[in-house]
Amino acid sequence: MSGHDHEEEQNHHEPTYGTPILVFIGLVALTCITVSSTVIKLSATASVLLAMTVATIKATLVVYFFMHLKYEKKYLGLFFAIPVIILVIIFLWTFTDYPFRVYN
Amino acid sequence: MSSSHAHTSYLDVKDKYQFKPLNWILSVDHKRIGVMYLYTAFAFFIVALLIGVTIKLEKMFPGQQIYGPEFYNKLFTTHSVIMIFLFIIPTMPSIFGNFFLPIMIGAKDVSFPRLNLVSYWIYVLGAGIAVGGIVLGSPTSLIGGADTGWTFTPPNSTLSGSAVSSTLLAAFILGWGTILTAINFIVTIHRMRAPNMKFLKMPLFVWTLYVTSWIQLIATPVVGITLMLQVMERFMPIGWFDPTKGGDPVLFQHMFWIYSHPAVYIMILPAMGAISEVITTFSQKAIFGYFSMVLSTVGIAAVGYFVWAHHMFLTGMSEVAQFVFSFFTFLVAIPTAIKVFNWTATLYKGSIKLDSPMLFAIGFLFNFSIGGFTGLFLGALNVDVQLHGTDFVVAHFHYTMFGGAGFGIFAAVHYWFPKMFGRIINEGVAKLSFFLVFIGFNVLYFPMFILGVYGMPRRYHDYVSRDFFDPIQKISSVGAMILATGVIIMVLNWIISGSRGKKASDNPWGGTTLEWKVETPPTLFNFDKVPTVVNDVYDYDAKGGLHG
Amino acid sequence: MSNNQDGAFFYLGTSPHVEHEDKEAAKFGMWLFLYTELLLFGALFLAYAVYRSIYPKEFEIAASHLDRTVGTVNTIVLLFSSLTVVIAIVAIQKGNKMLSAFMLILTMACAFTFLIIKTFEWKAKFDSGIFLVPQSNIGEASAVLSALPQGQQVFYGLYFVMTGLHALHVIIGIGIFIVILVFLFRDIIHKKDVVFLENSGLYWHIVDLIWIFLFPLYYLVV
Repeated sequence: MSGHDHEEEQNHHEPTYGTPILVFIGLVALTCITVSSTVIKLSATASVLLAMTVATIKATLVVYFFMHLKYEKKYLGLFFAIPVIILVIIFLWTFTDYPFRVYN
Repeated sequence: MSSSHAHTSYLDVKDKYQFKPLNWILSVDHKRIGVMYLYTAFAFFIVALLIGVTIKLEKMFPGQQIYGPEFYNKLFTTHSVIMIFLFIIPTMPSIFGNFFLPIMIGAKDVSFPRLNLVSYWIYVLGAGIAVGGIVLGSPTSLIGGADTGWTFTPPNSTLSGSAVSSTLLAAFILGWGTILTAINFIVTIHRMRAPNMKFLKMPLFVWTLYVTSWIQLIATPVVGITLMLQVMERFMPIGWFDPTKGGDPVLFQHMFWIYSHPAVYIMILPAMGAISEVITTFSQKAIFGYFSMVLSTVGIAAVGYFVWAHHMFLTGMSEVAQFVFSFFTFLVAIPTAIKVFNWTATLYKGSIKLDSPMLFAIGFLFNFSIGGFTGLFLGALNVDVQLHGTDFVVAHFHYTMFGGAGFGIFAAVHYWFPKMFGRIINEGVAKLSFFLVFIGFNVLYFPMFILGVYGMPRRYHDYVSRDFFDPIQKISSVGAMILATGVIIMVLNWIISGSRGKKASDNPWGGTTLEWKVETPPTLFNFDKVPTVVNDVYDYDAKGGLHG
Repeated sequence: MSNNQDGAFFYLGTSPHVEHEDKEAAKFGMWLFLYTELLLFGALFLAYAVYRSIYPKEFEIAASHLDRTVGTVNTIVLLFSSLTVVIAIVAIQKGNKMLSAFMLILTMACAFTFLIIKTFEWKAKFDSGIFLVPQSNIGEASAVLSALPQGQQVFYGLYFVMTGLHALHVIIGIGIFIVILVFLFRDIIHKKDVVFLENSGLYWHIVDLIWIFLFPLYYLVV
């Protein structure tokens, strides 16, 4: 008696083999892109930004498809934003310190 | 649902094991787990309280009376480690959350009862390691635990010969226990509420447990890994925080306070939730501004992530950082103030009964307000230059954590004791103990604001004799003794009432939340069948029991 | 919990053929736990970010001593292992127990491969004199490491701790998959109840996710 109705099969989506394989191919392609992009001469900041952007896209594919977030109930995706947002805040707020330090 | 358990309280369930303690140590009943936490946590509280008295005894007179500075450092470190990690952080969620969360939402247990029990064992394991460090010391520093303060700041915590590593390891393990409890509570609140209990019909105590669980979930891993890095730094010359190897000790402080500031909200929010319950019950009036209470709880938790470096204003951070963190520190006071206003407004024109839970709640309002206001002093950059690292800070956080969260815990015990154990606490003794505790508390800590303004540093074993310092220190130390006497009387009262008190009825205080509608003490599965929630949660005019 | 008729008593070990009473709760609980992993590694990434902003040149130099090809291979291996675990889930949802088991074994093989490659990487560093040593053994860390510029020392410290913690999670993942394989063969995981397998997959994807961010930050520094 869990106090909940039996609407457990919320992912009425039929599992397939095709989608994960396509996603994997996409992930490999993105890996190749990020590795080969190192030949382009970018500034330090720009290269980090590019690498992190590609990584974020890869991560999104993993979370959305492999981890099934696309097919889950909405709250799971919304709550996933919480640790992400907190991490962003932590990074931003820490970087109010270091770049602005004045050393005598 | 097994009807043979219909009226047997959870305390009287038939034993499975011959060896009696096993029926508790191996029990996955959330109520029994809550009671086990109660005994363990309060045992540690008394130990840490006595350490606090020992600290104040030494400081009563200038010059060394009992022990020297090395031992003093270990004393205050042990005092704070026990109080923070073994008492305040676990107590409200793990005792009262465990016991009452399922009942308040109409459930028979939490979502993961076995994980709940494992969380308790982890708590005991972490506590054991901490005690081991305290009792056994380290190879180079026998007896007494770490001497770095609970903030473990490098390079001191890297170089100190005291039992730092075992204390850090203990804190790390304890952190995982609280994370598991937090996961349990979040899932329970989402999945096991009674059918009609929408989120905005939940008692405020449940809301604070929910929000606190999120804070615990998100913040604790950060300090977990930070403490582990510090352990590694003690054994390996990695140089994470060692300037001679390119590290930055201030980075440790950033990473440490990223958790430890939200930690103070972990400590205060559930206590505030309990205060909300007590104030509304003892005013027989719905809480003023339920929705703004919910919003302010979430607001405190959220903004609490933006302010951590207000503990670090004097570390050499950039001025930009100082400005940003000071600004947000003032912001976080706003939702807190909303709560104080709402509690006060609830009292207004309520039919107030000053029983012991209510006395502690009103004491909370007084103490926590002082604590909150003095936090604003510390949040102001220019003032903080003077006050950082002084007894002013010590007074501030004791007013919020002890006068606030501590009093909230005491209020919760007096409030829920009858339901948990089926007995009434002796009210006369309870009132006496309240006055001793309240007066002793304020006599102890208020003078420390003054001492701090006059420059008395914190964590100092001794001070130079001065005309105005000496009497103030004496008064403060006397306050400690009054406070300790009051606490001991209070706890003894609980123990004696637990076995000799009058039997309690189902609803001695006239509360409206679901725990007052079940039997006293509750049966094994709390409810015969799932309750139907019809009225608003704090509807004092509504008639009817569990099913509308 | 349906296996607690008298709630006060505790069962160690699961009895087979007990369905998860609330699958959504189990899944949600797993996601919540994974948030802690994100924050755990997130704090380390924060330290990395801070030190990289302080020592950009030294990080570049030190990172150039890591083998980019090896890192890329490891990345592909982990991505592939994420794929195999998803296929394992799809397979058992379609009732194909053998394919599912094979996919799980393949996942574990990938995990082992990752660890072996990592071991060789670390060994290469140790052989060139760069390693973290307990203080009590040698007064200082390896002489080579201490002679490096500070920024590079910090880099290597971060490198060993972050990849080490990640590798620890890979090892734990292998342990989890062994248990899951046993559950699969004992029909505790079956077409109608894949929660254990799904949750272990979620864990594994987070391990993969961490590496997706680790890889460019350590191997692709220019």
